[in-house]
Amino acid sequence: MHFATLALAFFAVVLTGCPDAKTEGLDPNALPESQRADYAIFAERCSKCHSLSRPLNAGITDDAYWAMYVARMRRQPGSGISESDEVAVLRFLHYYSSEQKDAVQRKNKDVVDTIADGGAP
Amino acid sequence: MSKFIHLALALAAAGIFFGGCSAISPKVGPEQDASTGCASSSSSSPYGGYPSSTAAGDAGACAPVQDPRCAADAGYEEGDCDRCEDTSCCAQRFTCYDDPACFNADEDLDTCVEDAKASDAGDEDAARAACWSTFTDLPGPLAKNLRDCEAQHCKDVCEVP
Amino acid sequence: MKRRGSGAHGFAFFLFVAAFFVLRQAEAIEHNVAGSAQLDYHFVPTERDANANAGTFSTFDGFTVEAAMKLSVDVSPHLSGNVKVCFGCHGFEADMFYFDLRAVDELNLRIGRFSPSFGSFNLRHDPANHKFSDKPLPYDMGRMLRKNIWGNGVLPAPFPDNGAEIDGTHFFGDAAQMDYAAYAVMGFRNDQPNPTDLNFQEAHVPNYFVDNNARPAVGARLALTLRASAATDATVGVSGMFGTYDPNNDLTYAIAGADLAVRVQRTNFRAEVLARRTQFDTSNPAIFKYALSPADGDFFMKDGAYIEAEQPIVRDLDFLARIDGMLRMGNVLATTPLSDKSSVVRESLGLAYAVERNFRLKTSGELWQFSDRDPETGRRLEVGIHLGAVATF
Repeated sequence: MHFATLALAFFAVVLTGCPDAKTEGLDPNALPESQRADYAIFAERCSKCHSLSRPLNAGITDDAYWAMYVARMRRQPGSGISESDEVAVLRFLHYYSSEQKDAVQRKNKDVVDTIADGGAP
Repeated sequence: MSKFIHLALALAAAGIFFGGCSAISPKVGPEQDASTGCASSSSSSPYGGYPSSTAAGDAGACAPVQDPRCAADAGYEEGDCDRCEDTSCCAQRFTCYDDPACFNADEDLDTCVEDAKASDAGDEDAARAACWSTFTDLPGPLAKNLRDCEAQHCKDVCEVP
Repeated sequence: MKRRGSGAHGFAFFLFVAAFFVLRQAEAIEHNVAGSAQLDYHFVPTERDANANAGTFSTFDGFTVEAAMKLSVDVSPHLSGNVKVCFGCHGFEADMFYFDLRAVDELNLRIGRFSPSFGSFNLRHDPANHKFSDKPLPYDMGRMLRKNIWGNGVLPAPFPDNGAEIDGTHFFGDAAQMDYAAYAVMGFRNDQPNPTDLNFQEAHVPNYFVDNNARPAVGARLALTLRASAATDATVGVSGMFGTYDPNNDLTYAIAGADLAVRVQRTNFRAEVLARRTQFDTSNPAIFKYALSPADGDFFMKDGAYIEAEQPIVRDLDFLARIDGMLRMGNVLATTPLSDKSSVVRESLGLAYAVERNFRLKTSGELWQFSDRDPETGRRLEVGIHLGAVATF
């Protein structure tokens, strides 16, 4: 009986899902046209050994560190990340981390503005 | 389907080792009685088998095989209980030791009994009995066989409840 | 033994925490922390009393958790370090604690504690990196039915060990990549008297992280990745490992493997074959089920293979299929239900669904076919069901 309950709960989550959830990767259609080709290479290469959440949520914003990080991944056995792929991946990660930084700054500014206006944060 | 998988596994393994030479084809003799090392009269080997005399020596083929670790100078005797085990429960003792789970359970039993003796909590007999009960709860016959043999031959020196 | 083992685990966890806080102070050193945790519920309806953890089944049914935290540090473009502490059925353990000193892509020296390069699954052994809840049978570590009878897989993964490895990779433009590795590590062990098999527990729950004999185990791997198009590549590899496992250096083991992985866009197809030859102590013939053969009677073969496919159905839902199995040939202990030629085949179907970017649900059903009957139930066929969830950060 306890197993049936677990199974029902499991499939309820699967079927209902979360309507506004972020999925493992990004929606290519939501990216600027100029980034889609680089993202395709990033998604193709970086999902071979691990989920895309690893790099997307790594929290790295420094280009120099991304360069070392991606070089380390490129050298993994069977990575399939060639040197030309590395350039495209780094271009996309630069764009992505810049967007992440801007989003944080916008959020912080909103909080400061709200407090300055006398409202609750 | 499963036959196909078995065949694929065997072929692949053989291929890895350069064509299935004898270095990767282990052989066994006929099935033997676990307690004596003697060939069972009813057994047969799918590989055609070997007469038990070639496996255990002509004269000793059907005599119990004494584990050399039971000899007094083999280094496995630290007390009266060990000596009694080697004399009366040799096969049961080392068959247990040769099984990783039974070996670990036997070590746990020793520790448990020592703790029971050292404890000031009260009923030492009950604590010791609990240790032995845990030991014989081990799945399979190995621990039970050792305990039964000790209870029969070494009850006092091994303090079997 | 267990209490001393716990001390080692505590020490591993302490080292990880210490390394993390030291690096937080050293802002010049780039570091990255990642973690994963998988909760899996394994239900075996064919077992009596629904308790597969008892009797001859002896598997970890019910809930199990596998969790890990990894700290990666790039000290410079030529020096990096990795520390990974995992928590599973053995408690805390140092899964990685190594440094890479790289001259060029083609020449890297790795020293410390790491899983030496063997096979293709090794890179994906973390539950966050494979979509089934459990590992393929040749790499199984404690999740298979009748695990104590079978002694786990051919090479239970991960297999962290202390030692040194020289490895490297070379790209031939965009078309091909070749990898190699050669290593010397402590090797597997069995310290018990008159051993008859490797004792993988001693590799994971050691009294001390030291060798039990003075001779290292050695091994190598060679792999080639070919890219047919931007979204299609294939990797073929061969691996080998050889060493002694007893304190006297008398008993040898040799493991060989071949692997193939093909990727077409998001569809993955993988196949691996492993074979292990293990010598055993024959000083007490009475402990064996069969009389010892005078020729080729002092070793057994344990072979395993799997083929698996991952096929996306929609963007976040993958369909999974796997067939895996093992074959054991040679003498066995008198007390085991195995014979001189025993096999197991498992067929699995599953789904993996990404609910969130860092959260995936997994489910699978599996049909087991053993060549030997269970001594208690008389069954050869068994059924297992996995329900799992894995989260990462």
